[in-house]
Formats: sequence, C-alpha cells, structure tokens
Amino acid sequence: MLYVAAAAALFAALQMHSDLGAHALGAALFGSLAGIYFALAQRGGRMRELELCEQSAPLYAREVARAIASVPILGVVISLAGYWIVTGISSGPTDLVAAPVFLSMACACAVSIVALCATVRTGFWQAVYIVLAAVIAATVVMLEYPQLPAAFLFCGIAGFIALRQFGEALARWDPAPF
Amino acid sequence: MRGATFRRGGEELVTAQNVELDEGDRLAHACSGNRAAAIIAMMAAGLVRASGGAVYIGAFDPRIQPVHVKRLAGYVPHETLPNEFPSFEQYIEYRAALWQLPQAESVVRARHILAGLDGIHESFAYPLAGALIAQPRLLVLDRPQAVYGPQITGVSKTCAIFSTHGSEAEAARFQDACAVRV
Repeated sequence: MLYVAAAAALFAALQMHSDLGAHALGAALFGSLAGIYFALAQRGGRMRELELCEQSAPLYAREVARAIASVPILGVVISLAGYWIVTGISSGPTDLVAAPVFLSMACACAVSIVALCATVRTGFWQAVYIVLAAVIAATVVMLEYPQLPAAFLFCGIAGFIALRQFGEALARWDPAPF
Repeated sequence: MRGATFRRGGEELVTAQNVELDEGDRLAHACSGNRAAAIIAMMAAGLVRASGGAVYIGAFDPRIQPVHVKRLAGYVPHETLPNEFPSFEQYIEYRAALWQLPQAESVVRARHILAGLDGIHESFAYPLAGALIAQPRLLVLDRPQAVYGPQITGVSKTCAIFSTHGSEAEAARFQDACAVRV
C-alpha cells in the first residue's frame, strides 16, 4: 500500500507542470489502476488460508464483502491522498479544487469494488469484470468536466451495485480445492 | 450427511456420503482421496454446499443457514498457515474479531489451549487453537496427522470431532491415536 502511495506521489511530481484538468485525469486513472491492483492482489489465492478463515467465520456474505472492500478502498484513498498532497505542494494549494480530489477517490473506490467482483470468478467472466472496471474509470473521466454531479452519481451507483454483486457472489462462492 | 455429493463442471468430485455424528462423538472418515477429503471437511463445516443430498449440522442446513452452521462448527484446514501474523496473539485477535468474541479473553483461552497442544507444530496448533476459542460443538479437521490425535482429543474436551482422511489406513491410524486418550 505504501509502495503504491509512493508511486502516486512520484506520478504527481512528474505531472508538476500540468494544469488541474490533467491532474484530475491522472489521479482518476492512476487511482483506478491502483484500485484494480489492490483488489486483485488482496484476493487471488495468494492468501488462501486467510480467505478460508474469513469464509469459516459466522458472518453473512454482505458483511464479509464490506470488510474485504474496505481494504482496496483504504489503499486507493491513501494513494490518492499522497498524489494530491504532492500536487498541492508542487502547484500551490490555492490552485486546488475539492471536486476533482473527491471525484478521483470516488472513481477509484467504485473501480476497486468492481474489480473485486473479478476475484470470485475465473476465466472469461473474470476478464469481463476487469474490463468493466476500466470502462467505469473511463466513463467517470469522460463525465467529469461537463457533468460533475453526474460523475459522482455514477460512481455511487456503480460502487453500490458492485458491492451488492460481490456480496452475492461471495455467498455462492465455493472455496473447494481443485 | 445423507447422500451428500459435490459436483463441479459436470464432474462428481465427491460421491454420495452418508455420515452421522452424535454430540461429543468422534469420527475419522475415510475418503476416496485427498481432494475428496478436503471437500467433505468443508461441507461438514458449512464452507461448501453439497450439490446433491442433504447436510445438517445440528438442526441447520448450510445451504439455508450457513452462519448458524459456522457458529457450531470449527474448521481446521490441512494447508499450513502462512506467517501473515507477527505473533500468535495477533492471529487470535484477528480470529476473535471475525467471530465477534472478546479479544483479551480469547487470547487467554487460546494460550491455555496451546499449552495443551505441546509437541504439535505451530502451523497446525495455531489454527486448531483459533478454531477452539469460539467453543464450537463440532470440530472439523481436514486430514490431521495421526501423531497429533492424543493432543487434539485432550484440548477438544466434549466437542464432537469429525476428521476426513485421504485413505482407510490414515483414518484408522488417526482413530487409534485418538483412542489413546479417549
């Protein structure tokens, strides 16, 4: 998580001479990429024992889904905080506007949750959910400037539906070995 | 389990299983192979739903009330636990949080259980102690080693034990080892 936050800060430093629009675009796309990475790295068989431990706990799938989703969300928020702090330092805090900061975070959170849906699927459907996560990021970026409230609303709806989907997929998911 | 089967992708990975275990009872169940043993253990702990037949843990069907089943059953996997946690106490606190148990009390209980598991490798002892802190009524063990039998029966007290094994010989060895202290 710290490595990704450091990479975000470095990315912001490289964009030092860009305008706010380029920063907003960069933050949303980098945050989304980081979110997909966090989601796939967190669950993907690397920590099977921990996943089994979570699965054997007396928790409803929706509770497990919320807990799992909080990890990539925390990761992207920390990473993007690093990005915007460096941007604020390099371009001057007076030039910063709150909307792109929060929208980049909202976008990355929604994308992370959609990417989590890929971790409980395999093959074609796993690829579909990763592509869907990327499409959501692109859609938010396209919506951002003409219609900022619509972009926020889109992130909220996408994130909510994806979290419900992830919970339902977890409830049906069998951790049987093959 | 009454005629419980497990299918995946058209292939029957577990053939019909008929198993009955009373409260406080112990059963070493021989399976057709290691994969079947792992799946049957998960079915008994409510982690995997049977494709056919019926499974009841207590009065609960894991397909309908998985959370109730998981409150009754403690599951210990065969795979070794990775060193994700810097200490035993942190591992127990993590499990206590998942099971919504008081953390300090769980650590004390886990230390007491661990003391009774003397001689067992920590990769098996830690998950076993972790499973027992919730005081389950059914302990499900996926392919435990026969040499650990006496310690397992010692710490599990009145809890029913259901273990799965990859072969008849392994099941018989575990049954014999448990009988030492029973």
